[in-house]
Order: sequence, then structure tokens, then C-alpha cells
Amino acid sequence: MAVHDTPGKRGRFDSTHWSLVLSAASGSRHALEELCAAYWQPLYCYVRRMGYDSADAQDLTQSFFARLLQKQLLGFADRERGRFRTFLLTALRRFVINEWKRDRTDRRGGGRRALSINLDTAGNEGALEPSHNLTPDALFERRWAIQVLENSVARLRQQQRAAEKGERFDELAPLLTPRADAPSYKETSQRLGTTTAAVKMAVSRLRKELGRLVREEVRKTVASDMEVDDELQRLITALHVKG
Amino acid sequence: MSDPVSCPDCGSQYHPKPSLKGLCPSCLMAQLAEEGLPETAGARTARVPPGFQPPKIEELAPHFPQLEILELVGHGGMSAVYKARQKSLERVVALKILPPEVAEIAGGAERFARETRTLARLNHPGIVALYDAGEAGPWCFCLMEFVDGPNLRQYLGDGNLSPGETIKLIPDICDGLQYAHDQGVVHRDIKPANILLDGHGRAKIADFGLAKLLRPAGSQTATATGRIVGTPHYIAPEQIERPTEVDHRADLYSLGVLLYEMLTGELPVGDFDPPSRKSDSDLRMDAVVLRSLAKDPQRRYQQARDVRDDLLSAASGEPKMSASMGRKSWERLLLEFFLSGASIMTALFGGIAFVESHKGDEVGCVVLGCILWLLSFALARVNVGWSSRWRDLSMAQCLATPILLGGYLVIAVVLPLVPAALVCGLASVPLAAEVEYWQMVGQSFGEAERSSMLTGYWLSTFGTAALASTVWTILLAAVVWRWPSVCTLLFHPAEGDTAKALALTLGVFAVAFLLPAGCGLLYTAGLIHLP
Repeated sequence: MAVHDTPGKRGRFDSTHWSLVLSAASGSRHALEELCAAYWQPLYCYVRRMGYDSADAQDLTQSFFARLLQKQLLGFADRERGRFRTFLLTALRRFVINEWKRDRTDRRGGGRRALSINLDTAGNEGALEPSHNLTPDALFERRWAIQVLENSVARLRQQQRAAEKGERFDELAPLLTPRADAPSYKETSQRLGTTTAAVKMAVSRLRKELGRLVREEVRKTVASDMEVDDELQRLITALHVKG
Repeated sequence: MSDPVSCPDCGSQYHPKPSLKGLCPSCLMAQLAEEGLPETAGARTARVPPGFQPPKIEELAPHFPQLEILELVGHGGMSAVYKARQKSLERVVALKILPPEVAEIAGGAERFARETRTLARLNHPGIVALYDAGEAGPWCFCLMEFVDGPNLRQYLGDGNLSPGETIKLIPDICDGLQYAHDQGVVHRDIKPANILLDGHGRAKIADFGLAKLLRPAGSQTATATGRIVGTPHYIAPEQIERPTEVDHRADLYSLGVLLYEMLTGELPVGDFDPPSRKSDSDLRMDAVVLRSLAKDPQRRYQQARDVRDDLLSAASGEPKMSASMGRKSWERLLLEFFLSGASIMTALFGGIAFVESHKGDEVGCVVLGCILWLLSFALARVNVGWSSRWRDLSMAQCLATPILLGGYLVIAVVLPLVPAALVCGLASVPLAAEVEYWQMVGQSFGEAERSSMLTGYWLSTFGTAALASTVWTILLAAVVWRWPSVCTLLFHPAEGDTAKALALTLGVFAVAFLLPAGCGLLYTAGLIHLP
């Protein structure tokens, strides 16, 4: 399963947030699995940053998610009061400490079904984020924020494709940030055979829609509406602090 | 896997990924935040949490019997603004409604009241006045001055303003900020949306202190807020990195961002170009903008009025900069002391030397000392103040400047007297003077029979010397006037207009002093005769 394609398939629990997913007695394994699959990378980065080599980090992340999916870790964090992000991190920390004490062979899955996360894409990202002078926690937050963006962009692309605007989206996407080296509005408008004003308008709409998707994405990872803005602020800050 | 690249805009390192279309995540997030990520009303759908929904006018009306609420003029994630008419005073006011949680976030009604009391004391034409605040029904409210016009964000749109327009608006903003800072109030969220433009083209700062109010009491981190305070591009670096150390200079950073955006229509992210390269703004404005945007608050402008002064003088072409700007307070003190101290020393040494040679003329000594001190002090200040390079100098170079200036002063005084010295020197060598006179020079002046002969000789010599000096000084002044760079060469910090001023002084000095002196001497010597 290619990780980046997952967000588009998560229509089933879009209106549900993570604490409901976790507490639901049955039938939510898929939902939880997809939520975890969307956010395993930041965790993997965190484990790597703790000093584990690539293989060990993959093992640890895999078995952490396996346990999580079997809901064996729910007692690790008070899910009612937290965010998915902090919950995962707390749970992972405890998990890693416990595993450290445990027999190595026992740690490797123990016959449990592993979460199908594509560790090949993670392997190289072992180099991960260039910001190596960040603390593991800061790196985790940064990675998390990037993940939120990636998931949102993937969903935006999905939407645009569904509306048969996929190619147009690919042309417009580089204009989402005001980069110095991005193609100009004029060039893009010529390529798309439309006017500069239309391109500007389209990009502005895409940004708005992306903003909305980011909000939605964040909403899934916090317990209440009240926390969305705060979580957003944290993510913005996490990306703003330079490593 | 791609190698990490450095973002050309914000400078952060990232891996370009196809999942993000190769975009820099920091920039993307910042862009979304700027476009109202948390507050975009139109982007909300049923699935998105409602956040704060502006109450309907009918809902509000019972809680504000003194007002006639006219219309909703705008709302964001944490507030809604209504246009209303205050019945008793027949005036239009703006009613800002904040959700009930604000009182909780702000740390209870008491803190809300305390903070708003402070804000109500801000009374300045550059600040949107707060008339009243409190709780009404489930909401908190602020009753404010109604500014009939767009905010700067709407006014700017996607473009920039002309330098002229910028120059017109910035002083208002600076005045308002300076006033508030003097009262100990920091805005913390200066951005185009918070600058309102009234019908007369004046700028007013809105939402003063609201950012602080919306921050939980006792909380020191900007991240622990109930809403997004500001947008990353306008926030000073220390507001994120060291929230405990935030002071009024954070506003001055935001002001710098604002200024940059007004001039160029872009935000100063990454390795940004100075405004003059992106627009037709004056080169001198670059210095003002860049100093406002210094990462280190110590290197930034320290007061809003300095920004205004420098901007105005940059616009009017007067290169006036305050020398102590952007330096630590002890550095400033040392500089001031040194600038004044050095000239006091000059005066002291000059005075002592004079007293030694003119015993008994104490009053004259004091007067001369004072003149010397004033002269050197003024010259030092003027030179230091007018030097555009001064700000770029290290502390050591700054401290050396007064000593150099002492040297320049000596040169300035000696220069006009060079021909006089030459004439006198020539007069005393045998080739130029008669042998008889020369012999007398070498001998005692005390002998009576030689004194009358000597007087005539010296008078003619001095007369010639004074005339030569006058001509020389006038020539010198002309040269300096025509080629100011000559003056720069001689007096390093004096440039352009300063050099012209100096040339003028030299000319006046020559005409007013040297010429009459020469004529007087020649007349005494009997070489010229008055009718």
C-alpha cells in the first residue's frame, strides 16, 4: 500500500475524530488503521531520531502500530483530553521504553498481524529531515505538520481528479506558495490556455480549499472543535522554527 | 529519494516530495495561514467545526439597548464586528463581539476588565479608540470607534503602494505605536488587516492588545493560545523563539514586514531583496526597512518614532540618522559620553594652553574654551550624524571617530593659514628679504634702534600673508564647493551636502575675517591709502 494514496480512501470516517475511532468497540479497525497509516512517518522519524538504526526503527514502529491496532495501548494515554499527535507520541515513548526492557525476539511481532505500512518509502527517509539539530520532539512535530500537509494535498489532488481537473491541478500546484523560482502566472496561463487573472483566481481557490482540508485533517486528530486552532498554531510554529 | 534542498524563500531545509508537489512545507503552511487558514469563513462547510458563529443582530439587540445595531461588517474565527449607532450620542460605533470563552481564556472577567481598562486609556488619532467593554449576555464585547474605510489588507490587495502613499500612511502608524508603547502597551499582532484607513486617508491601528487578551493568563507561550495569533510572516522571531522576552520591539519587526509589503507587495521571506530592487522606492528606504527587520531586537529600531523620522528623512532626501540607533543601551551611553567627552577634552587642553600663554586673562580663556567646546561638539555631532556609514561601523571605529574628528578640526583651522605661514617663512629667508632685515631677525628684538625698521618689515610681511591666505581660502572653498569629494578625502565623514556647508563656512570665514585683517595690516603699513 502506497502511503500517500491512503488519505483519499478515508471517506468513511471523515466526520469522526480519533478519540471516537479509538473508543468504538468494533468495526473501527479499518478506520484506525488508516489513521495510523496516515501518520506513521512522524513516529518512525522520532524513533530514528532516538538513535535506532533503520531496521530497528522499522521493527519498533511496526510492532507499535500492531499493538495499537489491537487496542492494547489505549491505557497509555488519556485519550479524552489529548490530541492524536500527543497521544501517539506518549504511547510510543512508553512503548519503546517497555520494549527496551523486553526480550528482543518477543518484540518482533509475536505473530500479530503487522500494519501494512510501506517502510521502503521510509527507509530512505531515514535521513528523513535535514533538520538534525532539532530535538526529537521538535522533529516529530515538524514531521507531523508535514504529514498533515501531505495528506491534505493528496486529498485535494484526489478531489481535483474526481472533478477531472487533475492535470490542471498539477500545473497550478507549484503556484500554491509564492516562490521565487516557480513558473509565473503568465507562463502557467499560457500553458493552460487561459488568462492570468483566471489562474490567479484558480490558485486562490485551491489555497482556500487546501486550507479547509488542512483544518479537516487537523480536526480528525484532536478531541474537540475548540482545539483545532490551537493545534493548527502548533503545526504552523513547528514548521516555522528553523532547525 | 531527493536530497534536501534549501528553500529559496524561507531558507529552511526540506526534501522536495512529489506528495507536496516539491513545495516547501514551511512556505506552504505559512501561505495557508496567511490566507486565513483558521478563519476563512467561506471555506467552512457543514463538516468543518463551526468555531465562532457571529450572532444574529436580533440575538444581540436585547443585550445592547443603548445601541441600534445596523449590520455585520466582518467576522473572523474569534470575533465579529457590527456597525451600530449609539442612540444617546447619535454617533456610529463599531461593536466587536467576542465568544464567551474569551473571558475564560483571558483569565476571568477581572483580567478582561483590567486589560480593557488599560486599552481604554489609549487615546490617540492613530489608534482606534475603545469606548466601552464588558460582558453582555453570553458574550464579551468591545465598543469602539467606527472607522469607515477598508483595512490595509483590502487596500493592498495583491499589489503594493507607491512610496509616496507608504510615506503618507506609515507616520500615522508609527505615531500610534509610539504612543501605545509609551503607555506600556504592546500590540503583538501588527498586520495589514489590523490597520484601518479612514475617509481622510489616515491610518489607524485596530485591535490593540487583543492578541494579549486572547492569550491565556499566565501563559508565556504564543502557541498555547485559543486562536492563531498573527501569522508567521508578521511575527518577530523572538515571539516564537523566546516568547518570554517579547517587548515593544516585536511590534517594530511586524511594522518592518508591513513596510516591506507596502513597498513591494511581497513578504520579506528567505533571502529577500531590498525594497528598492523590487520597486521604485528610494535606496535610503532600504536601510530603514532592513533595520526594522533585524532578527536581533537590539539591532532593530528601538522606537517607532525613529522609524518614522528615518523614513521621512529618507523620503525627503535628508540623510539624517540617529547615530545611537540599533545599539545596546550601554553602548549608546558610552558613545554619547565619548562624543561629548572628546570635545570637552579638546576644549580643556586648548584652554590650558591658552592660560599658560596668557596669564591673567581668565575671562578670555573661559570664553575661548566655551567656543572651542561648542565648535568641536557641534562638528562631531554633525559629522557623526550625517555619515551614512556610521551605522555600519563597529563599536571600536565609532569610538575612534571623535579622535579622528579632532584631527580634522586641526586641519580645518590650519588649512587657511598655510599661505600665511609660507609667506612668513619666505620673508625670513635671505633670498626673499633684504640681508639687513634677515640679520635683524636673527638677533635680539629688544634693541630700540632696530625696532622701527622691524615693524615696517613685519607689517608688510603679515599683510602679504593675510592676503595670500584669503585668496587661498576662497580658492579652497571654491574647490570644495565644486568637487565635494575633495572634502570627503580630507574629512572622511563629511560627504555631499556637508562638504558644501563646509565650503560655505570657509568662504564666509575668508571674507569676514581674513580679508579685513589683511587690508587693515596693509593700511597700517602704509602700502595702501584710504581716500
